[in-house]
Amino acid sequence: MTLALLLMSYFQQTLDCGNERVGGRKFLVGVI
Amino acid sequence: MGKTVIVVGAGLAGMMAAFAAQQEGAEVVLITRGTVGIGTNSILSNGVFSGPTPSYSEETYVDDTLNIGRLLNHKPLLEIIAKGASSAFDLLRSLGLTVEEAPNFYHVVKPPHPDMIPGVALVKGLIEVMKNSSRVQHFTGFYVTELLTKEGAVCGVRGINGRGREFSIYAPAVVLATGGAGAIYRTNDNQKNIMGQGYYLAAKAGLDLWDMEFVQFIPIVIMEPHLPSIMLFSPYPDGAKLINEAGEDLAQKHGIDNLNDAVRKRRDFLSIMLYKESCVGPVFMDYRGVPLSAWDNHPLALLGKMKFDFKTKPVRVSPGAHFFMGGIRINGLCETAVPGLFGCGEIVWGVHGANRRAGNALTECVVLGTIAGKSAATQARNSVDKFTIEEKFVDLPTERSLGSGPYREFRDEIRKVAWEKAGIVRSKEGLQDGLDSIGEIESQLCKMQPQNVFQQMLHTDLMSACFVVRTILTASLPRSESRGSFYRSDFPQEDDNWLKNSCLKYDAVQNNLTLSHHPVER
Repeated sequence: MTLALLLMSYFQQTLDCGNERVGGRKFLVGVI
Repeated sequence: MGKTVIVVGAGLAGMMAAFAAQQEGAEVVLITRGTVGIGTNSILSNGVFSGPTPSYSEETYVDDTLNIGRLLNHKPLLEIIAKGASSAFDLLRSLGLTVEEAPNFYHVVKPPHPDMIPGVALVKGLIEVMKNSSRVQHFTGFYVTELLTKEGAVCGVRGINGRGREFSIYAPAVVLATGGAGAIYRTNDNQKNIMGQGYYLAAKAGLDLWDMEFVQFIPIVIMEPHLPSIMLFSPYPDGAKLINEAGEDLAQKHGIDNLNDAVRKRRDFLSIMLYKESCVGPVFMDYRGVPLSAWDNHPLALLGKMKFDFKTKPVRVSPGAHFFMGGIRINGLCETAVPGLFGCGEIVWGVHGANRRAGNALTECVVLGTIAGKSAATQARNSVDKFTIEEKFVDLPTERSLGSGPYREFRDEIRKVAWEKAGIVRSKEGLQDGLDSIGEIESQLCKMQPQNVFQQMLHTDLMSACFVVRTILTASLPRSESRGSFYRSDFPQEDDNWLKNSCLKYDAVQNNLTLSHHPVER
């Protein structure tokens, strides 16, 4: 088991939320 | 976004800085190479904070920390931690985290389930805070390669992302919260990308690096193939013991009465002992004598998530690089010597001296993170400089199919040099050999041409790693003593003539380090 998999087991839901909300491109489009 | 603060690094210190800056009215750009909180060492922590309590005075806390740091700590900064710790714990509670007072003058974050790493509970709670902070923009998947300067002051950052774009982000205040460099060592318990990038950025921007020879090694890290190399969390239950291949009880052999006490208070001694034992043969943690009931509770419950039968089979362990005590110098407002640049967390020098007391890393992150965020917000508020972004394409492919190319081999070579020459046990000959070897690797690395953006990031990682190994070797060489985590086989005794802090100045044009020593300030 990799460390990433271990952490993912705790974090699946939060990771999904994070990616949905904060993609770098989305942010940049918003401010340029 | 007129009054903007950039925070580089999204571990505990970075998130606290971002939170504090937005509370002060600033807009915040929180930059992380991965996803907020996930790729940091904070998430792997034991969730333990040390600090004064009503029954443990600030003065005693400072004295005990100085004693563990073997008197090399920068006391003015340590006193700031002591004064700010109580409010820091209250702040964490106000953000919804369960922080309980524990015996022995510690506070702990309680995970909701016994199989959860406490740092996960800590980081998870703060990610929720970040997501609900409307003035914090998360700039994820962004790799910072340079601090931008103008007329001697930092005015922003430049970096690349995996889509092959380079961004120059300008803002009047930048907080460095990039952590340490534990993953430059072959054996470590850090996240694998933590290779001293912040130290390299700071040195190239003109900051000196202090006490880089002091690296803390945690005694018991999992070293079993196919298992993550994280530390085996304490407390170790009754019946757990460290053994060698012949089954000898190593604690008993070396006169250690209490393994938990030794991990808390004598990490250096235990690491050296296990390192020497592991040079003879493999070392194991043996849980076979632990009562079955202990496996339902923290910390053994979290081992249940791994595919290894800890109950019937000793697990191979080793000491591993854990924490850097050295770093950049800040004042009480977390300002560095370069205007516009602030620091917090592991990258900062001064609190820990020659050895870090257990629990002080997280306390430092919260206290200094909060101060850095506030100070950076003030800087941004008083500045006329505007927030702007420039974007351009990088002339490199973005396909991952090329993989890491030759960089994996370079990484392994650097880690080997760090472990063998700048590791737990050092000597004059080894340090000189190490400088030769790392110089050779660095010069070969300079000739490499990255073939895609990911290799470009790896290239920068490894240049940072070479640089940091060189700082450790250079600062270690003249220190003819052993102190705290720093052990010289040719000078095994502490020497009061060395009650001095080392300071490295980097000349980026000549790629040259100049070392000086300064009496400890009290």
